[in-house]
Amino acid sequence: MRAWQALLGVGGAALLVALPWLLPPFYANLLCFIAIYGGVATGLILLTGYAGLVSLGQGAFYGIGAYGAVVLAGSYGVDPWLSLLLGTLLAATAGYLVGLLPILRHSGHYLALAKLAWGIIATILFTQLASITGGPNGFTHVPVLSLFGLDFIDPGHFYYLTLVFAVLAVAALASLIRSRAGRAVRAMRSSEAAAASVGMEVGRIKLQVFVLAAALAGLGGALFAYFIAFISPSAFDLGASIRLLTMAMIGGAHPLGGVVGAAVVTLLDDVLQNVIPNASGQAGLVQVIAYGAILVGLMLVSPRGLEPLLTRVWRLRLRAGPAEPPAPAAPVAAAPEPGALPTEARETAPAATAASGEPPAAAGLTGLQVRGLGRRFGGLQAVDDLSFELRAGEILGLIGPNGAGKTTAFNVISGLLPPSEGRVLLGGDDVTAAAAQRMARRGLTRTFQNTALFEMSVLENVMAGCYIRTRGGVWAGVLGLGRADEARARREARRALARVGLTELAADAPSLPVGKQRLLEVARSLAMRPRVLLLDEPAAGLRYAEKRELAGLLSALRDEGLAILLVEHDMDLVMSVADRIVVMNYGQTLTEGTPEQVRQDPEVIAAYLGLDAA
Amino acid sequence: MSSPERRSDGALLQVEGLEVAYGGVQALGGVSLAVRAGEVVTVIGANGAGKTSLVHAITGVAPKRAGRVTFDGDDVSRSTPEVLVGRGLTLVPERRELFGALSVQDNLRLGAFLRSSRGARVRRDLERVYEIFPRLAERRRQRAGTMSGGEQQMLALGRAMMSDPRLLLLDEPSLGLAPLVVQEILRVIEALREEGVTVLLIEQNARAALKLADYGYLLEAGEVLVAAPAEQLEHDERVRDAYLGAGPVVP
Amino acid sequence: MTMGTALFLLVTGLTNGAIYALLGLGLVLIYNVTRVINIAQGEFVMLGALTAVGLTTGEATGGITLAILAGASWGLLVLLLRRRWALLWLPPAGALALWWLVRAVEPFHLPPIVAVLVATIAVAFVGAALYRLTIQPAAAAGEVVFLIITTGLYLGLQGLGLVFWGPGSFSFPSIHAGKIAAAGVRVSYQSLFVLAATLLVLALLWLFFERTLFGKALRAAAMNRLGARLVGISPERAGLVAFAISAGISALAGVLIAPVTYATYDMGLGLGLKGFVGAVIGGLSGYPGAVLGGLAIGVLEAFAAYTTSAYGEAIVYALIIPILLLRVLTGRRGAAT
Repeated sequence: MRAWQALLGVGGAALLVALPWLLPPFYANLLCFIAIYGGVATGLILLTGYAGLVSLGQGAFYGIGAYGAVVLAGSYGVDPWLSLLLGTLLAATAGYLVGLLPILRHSGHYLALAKLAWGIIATILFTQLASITGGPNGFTHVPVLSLFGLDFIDPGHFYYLTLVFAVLAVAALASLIRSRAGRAVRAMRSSEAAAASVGMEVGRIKLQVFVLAAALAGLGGALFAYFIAFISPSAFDLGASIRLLTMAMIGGAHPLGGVVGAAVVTLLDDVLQNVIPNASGQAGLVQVIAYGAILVGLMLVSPRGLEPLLTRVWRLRLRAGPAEPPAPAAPVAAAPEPGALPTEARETAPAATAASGEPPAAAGLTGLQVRGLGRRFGGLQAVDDLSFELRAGEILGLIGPNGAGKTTAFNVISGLLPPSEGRVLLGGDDVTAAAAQRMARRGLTRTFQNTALFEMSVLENVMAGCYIRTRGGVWAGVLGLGRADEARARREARRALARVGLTELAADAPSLPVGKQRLLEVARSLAMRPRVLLLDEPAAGLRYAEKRELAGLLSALRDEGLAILLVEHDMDLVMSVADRIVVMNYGQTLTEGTPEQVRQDPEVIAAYLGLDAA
Repeated sequence: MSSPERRSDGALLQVEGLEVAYGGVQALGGVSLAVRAGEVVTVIGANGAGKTSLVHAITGVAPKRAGRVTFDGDDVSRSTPEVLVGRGLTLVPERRELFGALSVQDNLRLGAFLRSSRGARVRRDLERVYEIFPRLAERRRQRAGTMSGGEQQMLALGRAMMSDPRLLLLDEPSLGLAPLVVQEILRVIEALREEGVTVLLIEQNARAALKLADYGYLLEAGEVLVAAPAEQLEHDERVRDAYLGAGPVVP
Repeated sequence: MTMGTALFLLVTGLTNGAIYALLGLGLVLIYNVTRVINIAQGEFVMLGALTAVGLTTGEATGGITLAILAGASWGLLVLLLRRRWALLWLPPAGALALWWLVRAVEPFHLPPIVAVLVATIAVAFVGAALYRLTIQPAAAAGEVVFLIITTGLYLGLQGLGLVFWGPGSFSFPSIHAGKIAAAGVRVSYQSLFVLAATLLVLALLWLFFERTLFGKALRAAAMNRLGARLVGISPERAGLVAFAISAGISALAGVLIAPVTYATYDMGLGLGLKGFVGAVIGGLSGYPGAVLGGLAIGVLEAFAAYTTSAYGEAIVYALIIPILLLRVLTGRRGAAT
């Protein structure tokens, strides 16, 4: 089967190389455009398809690359090949500067509109900086790219340049999305809160992705400028941005999506131009209306582009080949691993201590201290002067009637909400108001009441949990570096999964039944090797047998020295696993004690069953 | 354990085999209950027992996976909340869902949005709400969002009353309120019953709810554990166990 | 810059700003009720202006044709959803008949006031139909999908504008030609009319939202979707009304500005974006804010164009970035909830 796949790959590559000879000369032109747009749209696919960021200003980066390259080469005598690089760098720099704005960290429409405005500003600048760009009349002194005496003028030759660009772009994207950074990009899209809770630097990754897409747009623009040897602002205006966006939206979330989208749009252009009688210049109009109709129709029918369809085909092919080799059943006991990671492994040392029977004594082993914590929403005091201490090797239950402020307390402690007053100490250090991602790096993580898994496989979800314990950013991902870290993350993830008893490694995480989703979230947290684990209703939706297994797992983790804060409605579960229980009511601590004390406490009974005590 | 004899007669609201799931999590697994005209029926249960899922499914706020809801003899399983209000089934939601930037009076007037053509009767109902809640009358020009939690709960009740309901669904009216305010809200429910309004009261505050109600259902883990007349349920051991646990699950 | 020039620029800026203010109002109305950021808002302006022009000069009736088309599609959709197969012929047949009627009556030479009314109503209807056809079916999809849909609408409407009216620029007759001199500045009657009409629209909107139950219901639907449903206000109906009113206001803005600047098929996007910048200055959810923001943008643009003619527009658009920055920085922390 492998041989068959390799054959297919070689055949495909040969076909791509031979295409200009196989098709009538006219098509070489189209092929060049498809490859250029395809590469640019591939960058956009990373933004829209994988990171979920919409850019209505990509045409601006495309234009900066184009103008940057040919102006440098044409007016300042820079070597054309070097100018390709410089144009790309210029676009990437512009992307960096635009992306630096904290707007990028804000999702959705604000970002999209800022980009739209930026795109329009860029078009105005291209037009107004006439002394450099040639203004509305365009820039014409475009030199020729040549290599060893071969001039890249003829589309049949130029095609190979654009082919290299498109192939590199697709390869970069394919490599990136399977890497550590790529997982972070996809994780952000599924849930920013969950991504931050495993320590991903959401803002920085967005910026890097944005710069990468801008760089691809810049290089594509530079190639485009050399290809048609004349550029004017209209090629990079809002219309161009929307065209690129249309390609990306058609492509959806697939490495080949950009090229497919570019092919569809370019061929559609061509068909429309040729089929519609050109008598009254109506072709252009129909094109514009057709883009509009495609965008609206696509969003209504399949908001994620043609990707779902492509993925189905892709899966069929994979199924024909050998599946991911099944994971060897890892040992259930999590004794310190020989290959344990140096950075944070030392901090899990309490595990060993506790396991050997010694009670955690030193102050450094205090897990989590919450002192006088308060959080207001407008006039509502959701949490009021909450204090408790959670020690290493302890399960602390946090219970209380509905609306008592448990979830708010949880969000404040885990760094998703800043507190209004009070302090949070982690291992003795003040971490009050630290963001979730910093909390994760300090060894505190959480699960979510409505499970916040990432839309990827089970194994990848847990590998994402290894984020802070591995290295490799967006650039390493593009270049396919960091394979050793990847292998290590995979090992760690398998171990964590074996620990919670999950075996469906290749399954799509969101397709798992709820009980397994909850276990998967726990596994993802364990992969971080945390010191403090916050569990938000881990038993909700679990069946009786699953609850028993969960209780067993929690007890085992406690015995290894983990500090666990458990918010849970299932009293049977809380009462049986918690060492101590803090009861909240009206945002305050009502009482604190052992499960039996709490169960008998008249105040607690009144809080739950009502005041009108019989 | 739902009691079959309560299904037979012409109940105002009848729920049969209601199932609700959110993204695969089963919240309700086949709940049946009945509310007869003029009764106060309560559904009690601990956090996460599925009480809010139940009212949301009955009123069409959340989708049902299976089951049937009959209101006044008609199948309303596929109705939306905006349609049900017009038929006389009104929900007072857990979070009150008031229009914070509008005045108290506007909130009340919007409660009668679907009846706005009947000016005289709406005005009379408005006066009646102000009689029941003098606090609201004092603050009729104040923005709803600036009021205290208790006042907001009163406004939510008043707004629902403005729709001239035949059945009021109250979802945890005592939630997050100070004890004295809870007492006041409960008094109002008592008064509503006197006026002949049928009430389905969802409460966590079991003791207070059972004192008030004719009939009660104890919900646990998305299923009806006990269904019995309220005074019987008041002394049932299983209520306490449902709230505070019956004992360890793990040996 | 002399005092006179400054005053002149101020009046010019306020005149344009009034148009941006109306657009901003429309954007905010739609955003509040439906959470849609309508990239195609400016296209309603274009449709309004060109339809009114067509109705007075008889040159073309594109806006009416579009309204008929939209109505037929709407009818088809409703029939399809209700599975009334037997009636499917009705909307296309009705549309054809209407269209034939319109062609038969052409050319139009309606009095300007009547043309304005007809154009406003036609565009409001198109707005409602577009909501029903493209926004409501995607209601669950979220803001980013809305954004792409309205981008598609922008393209489609602009293309149709070109099909219907061609690339030429059109002028709409002023209400009263000429200028008056006041405080040493000559102000055209049309400028005053634009300002007065804007104030009138504002007053009407204020009355609608503050004094009518229906207006309050619309505000309620914007404030609290679930709360609105629980008192019997359908969010879909509210969205439809919001789109209709918003499109109508924008169409009116188009008719108002047409005598000042010429009306072209591609006038929409720039106007819409400036309206948006104004609305964002005002906080994107407040109506008075949108109006003040729009006026501020107009004045800023006038002065920027006078001092640095080439970059006036760029400055206005560039303004959006610091404004958004400010919004984000003063807002709540992003990642939460």
